[in-house]
Order: sequence, then structure tokens, then C-alpha cells
Amino acid sequence: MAEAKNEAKMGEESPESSDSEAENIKQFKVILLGNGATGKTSLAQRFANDQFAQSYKQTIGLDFFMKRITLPGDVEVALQIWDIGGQSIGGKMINNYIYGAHACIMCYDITNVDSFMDLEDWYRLVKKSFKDEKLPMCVLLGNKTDLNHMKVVKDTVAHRFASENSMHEHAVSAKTGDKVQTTFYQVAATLSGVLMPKAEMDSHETVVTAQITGYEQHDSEVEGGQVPEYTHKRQSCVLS
Amino acid sequence: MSSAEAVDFTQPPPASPPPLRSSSASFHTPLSSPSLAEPSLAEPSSSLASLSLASLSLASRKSSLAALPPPSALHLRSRALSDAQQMLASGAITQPQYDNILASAASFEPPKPPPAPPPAAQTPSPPPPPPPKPTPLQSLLSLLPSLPPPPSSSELARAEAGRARLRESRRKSRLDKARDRERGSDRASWERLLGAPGAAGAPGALGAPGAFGDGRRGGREARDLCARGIPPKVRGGAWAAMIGNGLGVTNRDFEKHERRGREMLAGRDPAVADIEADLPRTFPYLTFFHDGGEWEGRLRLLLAAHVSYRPEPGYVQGMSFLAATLLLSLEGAAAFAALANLLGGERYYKGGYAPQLPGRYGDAFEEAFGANLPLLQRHFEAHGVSRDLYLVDWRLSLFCRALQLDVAVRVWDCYLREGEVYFVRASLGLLRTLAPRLGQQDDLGGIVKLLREGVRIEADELLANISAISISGRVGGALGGGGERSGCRPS
Repeated sequence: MAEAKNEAKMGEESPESSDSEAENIKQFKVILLGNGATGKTSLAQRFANDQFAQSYKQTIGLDFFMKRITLPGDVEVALQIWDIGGQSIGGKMINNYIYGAHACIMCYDITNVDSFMDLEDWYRLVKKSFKDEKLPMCVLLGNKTDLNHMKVVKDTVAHRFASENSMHEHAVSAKTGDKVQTTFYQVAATLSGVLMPKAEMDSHETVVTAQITGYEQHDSEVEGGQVPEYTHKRQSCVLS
Repeated sequence: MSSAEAVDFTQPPPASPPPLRSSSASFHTPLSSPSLAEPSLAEPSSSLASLSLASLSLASRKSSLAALPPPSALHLRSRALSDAQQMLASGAITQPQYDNILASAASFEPPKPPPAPPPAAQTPSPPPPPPPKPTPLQSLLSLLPSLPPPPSSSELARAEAGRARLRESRRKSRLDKARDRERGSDRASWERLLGAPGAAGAPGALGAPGAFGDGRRGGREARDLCARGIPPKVRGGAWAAMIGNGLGVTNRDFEKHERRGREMLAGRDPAVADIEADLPRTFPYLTFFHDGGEWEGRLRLLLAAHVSYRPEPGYVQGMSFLAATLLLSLEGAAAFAALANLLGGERYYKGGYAPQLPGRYGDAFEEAFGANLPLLQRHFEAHGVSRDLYLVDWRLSLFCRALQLDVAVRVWDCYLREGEVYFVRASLGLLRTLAPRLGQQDDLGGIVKLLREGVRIEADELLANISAISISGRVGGALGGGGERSGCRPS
């Protein structure tokens, strides 16, 4: 349903129908980087189509998603999401896709230490691609917060990496949708210089957060001594 | 073959698939028939339609039956019986009802034949006064479920059309049987080409047997057989033979690397970590690969054994699809040898199996793209569709992600015989098939979605489009030989 709506919207946006309008719409190139199975494609799917497929596909090569959003003050922007396969790190073509990006979202899986450690390499690749030019906006994104009870990447370590490299930091769950919209709206707002009031940001989050509450209640594993951390997490949640 | 025709974006795309070349029509028809034959036989409406003709015409003459000459009455009886039989088959009447009809029909005695029945008697004469006692045929008729009013000519025409459909579906099912016989003979041909049946899968016979030994390609016969689709029973052997064993993989290699692979898996070696991540994402809809059972174990072990055999480049995403597809037809040492030779041999994946296209590959592809589908190429350029967005995926998974598995293996059948150049041909054939739909998409996101997620395509339509692609000798050379003269095309 959501997908069909989205497709219909994309149809309306065809260049022919809105040629003059299209020039006013800012397009931003956002690339997703990180190891395989950290959920890059799921994030992009969640953001662009608001869906999550349990049996998702690994990205072989490169994938692409696009979504138009409206920021406060009726600022319309289009986000081009370039989803780069986790194994592309050694490839030559990858520089073409990193280069010219307005934002780099560096993804790791909070239940997988290697995926976090390897971000150093991915970040180095970004720096190499941009050489002496100004680096794009970089975001450190921890995915799979729905598996918080299996979390192995410590918050303090992530904070340090983010601040050392002056990255924005977000924790999301592509599965439940928690914070995914907020993150991408935040990225779009920062890129277009729009101030994002907290209430405005929260409005994109409401439905999703309700789902999380349900999940917490039914997850028996959360009670295994991990509750404090999860509760702590919830404090930063928009509803609490 | 005009490529402009395939990518004519100014016209709305045809609702039906593009017409096949006449040469492939005979190839196409029998294969497409099974889905048509089955439903129309089982469909109640068509048998009811033809029933209604008989019963309706009976109803109109109900009162005049006694006056009818016997041949006509007997004819009507047999027709009513056959219709009743169809109704029973289609579930319109129950078995007891049918038995009743049979009983009544059996007790029916034709009236004494008049001396000379004139042909004009076929048309009913004016109805005589109703007989005092119903004839057996009339009681038979009364058993049939509520008879509709007398038919109009259009109803009769419809009923005749229904009967024509039935005849057509019977003809198709005869064609199906003919096709099955042909498939049987295909299988026999394969067994002859491959030498003794099952030789390819037998342990100790990891070489390239029969017509595919020493780099031979089985000639025209094998080409036609591949284009028709290799029968599943011999597919494993045929694949193994066509892939060959240029690397000289032995049973001992297999045992050694399988053992090492097992150790790597047990020791959670980082070299096999990606395998674990990809297993649940490999053919998610084939549940037997994901239930933690035997097949999942086979796939994991085959991939780990290959990492041990070729630590460089190790496990590359996409391999899991190739390994799983091979495992559906081959097992053990034969599957291992096939995977090793597919990924590391001379014939396939020239320039390496990696998440980017090798050196000259992209240019060669673009040249062939422009020669065959210039309008679509321009459409792609206008919307910024880079080949990295689809060709890498298609190449590494050999179409197992973009196409349905049953269609993908038909492409494999030809690819494995023809080698690397067939991949480019097949990619362009797939683009040609998708061209009308791609032309409708006006943004990058829509085009990419169509290219990566694919749509349901009929194998024969795709193969016909592939055979319409021509690859120049120069491009063929750049891709590692096998230019224009080859080409798996339906005969």
C-alpha cells in the first residue's frame, strides 16, 4: 500500500510534468557505507518505501533509492540514496560514487564489533576520495537497536569515534523503523540549512515509536539484565 | 532485427510480449501451452457452455421428441450423455445424479425406425400434442439441472465457441504430449552426448566427458539442445560437462578443501564470516536452504571449501547464488569442481569475479549496448543509469536475482556452453525484453528498481530476445572470444 502510494508519487514527479519545479528542488546525494549485513539496504528501503523485508537482499555492486521530502518552511528536497555493497571497499568504481556525495552515512551493526572497527577503513576511503577537498557531512549510524540486548559496541567508544571525526551520531532500527525517518530528515535539514525544530522532527517518528513500545513488552530477552541500558536508550526516545 | 523496434518509447508498450521471430515460433508454441491446456479443461464454464448447447437444443424440442426419427434421438442421447459426463468431471453435478442419468439413458429405447427418414427431419416439425406418458428420454432430460429457456442464435454461437475452446485445449494437450516425447528424446540425446548416463556426477570422473571433452562445445546439436532448455534429469551432468575441469580438480582436492572449510567454519575464521551473513539472503524463498538442515549445511560447506581452495579473492558476494544453483543439480565433488571451474577457469568470469567490472568489460558492454539498443542506451544516459547499478549484480549472480530461478537456469544452459560473451548477449537480451517497461520509467529510482528486482519474464520470450542480439567480433574478442558466430538460439 505504502509502496503503491510512493510509486504514484514518483510518477507525478516525472521530469516532464514538473520541469520548472524540478529546478527549484535541491537534490542531495547521500551514500551509505559500511560492512556487509549492517543493514544499509534495509535502512534505505525503510526510508524510501517505509518497508522492511526480513529476507532482504545483499547488495552486489550498487543500489539506488530516491525520496522527496518536505522540510519545515515548505522546503522540498530530494534525497538520492546510493547504497554501496559492503564488499565494494576494495573496488575502483567506489571512488566515483563516494566523490560528490553531500553526506556519507557510515553504518555499523551494534551487535557486531567488526562492523564498527572497519568503519575506520571506510572513513579512510571517504577521505581518500575527497583528497584535499572539504569532506561531506558524515554521520555515524548504529543500526539494529531492536537487538539492543545483544549490543556489543559501547556507546562511549562510538561517541569518541564520532567526535574525533566530527560526525553526527544516530542509533536506529531499520527493522522497527525507529529513528530512521528522523535521521534522514535531520541529514536533509542540515544539508539544506533548515533549522529542524524538535517538535517537527518528532512528528515523523510518532507511529514508529509506538511499535517499539509493543516490541519491548513482548521481548523476554530484554529482561535478562539488559533493561537499564534499554531504558536509558528510551530516554532519548521522542515519546518519553 | 531492428533494435529501434524494441525500444520505441514514443509508442505505448504492447500489452502482449513482442512477437517472436517466425523461426522461433514453432519452438515457442509447444512450450507455452501447458498453462493454457490445464485450466480450460478443468474450468467448469467451458464444459458447461458446450453442455448448454446440447441440453438447450434438447429443451427446445422436448415436446417433439417422440416425432423425431431415431438417428437424431440416438444422437441427442449420446450427446446428452457426454455432456453429463463433462458436468460430472467439472463438478456441476454429483455422482448419484450422473448415475441416474445413465440409468435413464440405458432404459431408453429408440422408437421403431420409420421406413425412410428424410434429411429435412433434422429441423423440428411443428409440435404435436404432448404425449400422455413421458418417454424415457424425457425423464432423462428432467434429471438434468434446471434447463434454461430455448437458446437464441447468439447462445448457440457461444456454445459452439465453448466447444471450439475445448477442441483447442485438447489439441494443446496433444502437443504437450508431443513435447514431452521431444523432451524425452532431448534427454536421450544428452545422455548420448555426455557418454554413459550419470558419468559426470560419478566420483572419480571429474573430467569433461563425451562431446564436451578437450574444450569441444558439442556442436550444433548441443547448441540447439541448450536453447531448448536442458531436461532437469540430465542438467547436472550437462552443466558439469560444459563447465569442464580445466583446473584439474580431483577428488582428493575436494576432500582436502572440504575438510579445511569445515575447520574454518568451526574456528569462525574471518574469511568465512561473510558466508554466514549471506546464507539467509540466498534464495530466501527456497526454504530448504534456510531451515538449518542438510541443504543449508551443504551450501555453507561448499562455499567454505571454495574459500579454502582459492583464498584470493576468497568469498565474494554473489558466489552463494552460484553455489546454491549448482547444488540444485550437482552434489559433492562434482559441485565443488563445477564451482571452482566456473569461478576460476578460462571460460567464465574472465577478468575476475569481483564487485566491479574488469578493465575493458564496461567499454565492450557499452559498445554492444549502443549497437543493439541505441535508444535505450540514450534513455539510460539521460537518466544517469550507470551499468554499475545492474550489470555487476547480473554478472556475479548470473541473473539468479533479477530473474526467476526457472528462467535463470535456462540462461545458464546456454551461458555454460557459450562462455563469457553470452553473458553480455543475455544482459542485452534482458534489457531488450524490459525495454518497453524501462521506457515508461522516467526517473532513476524506477529504472533501477525494474532492473534489479526484475519482473516475471517468460523464458522463451527472453531467449528470443537474446538471440536477436548481435555481438561484433571485436566486442567478443574484448570479452574473451566467441563473437557473432556463436549464439544459443532456438531453432
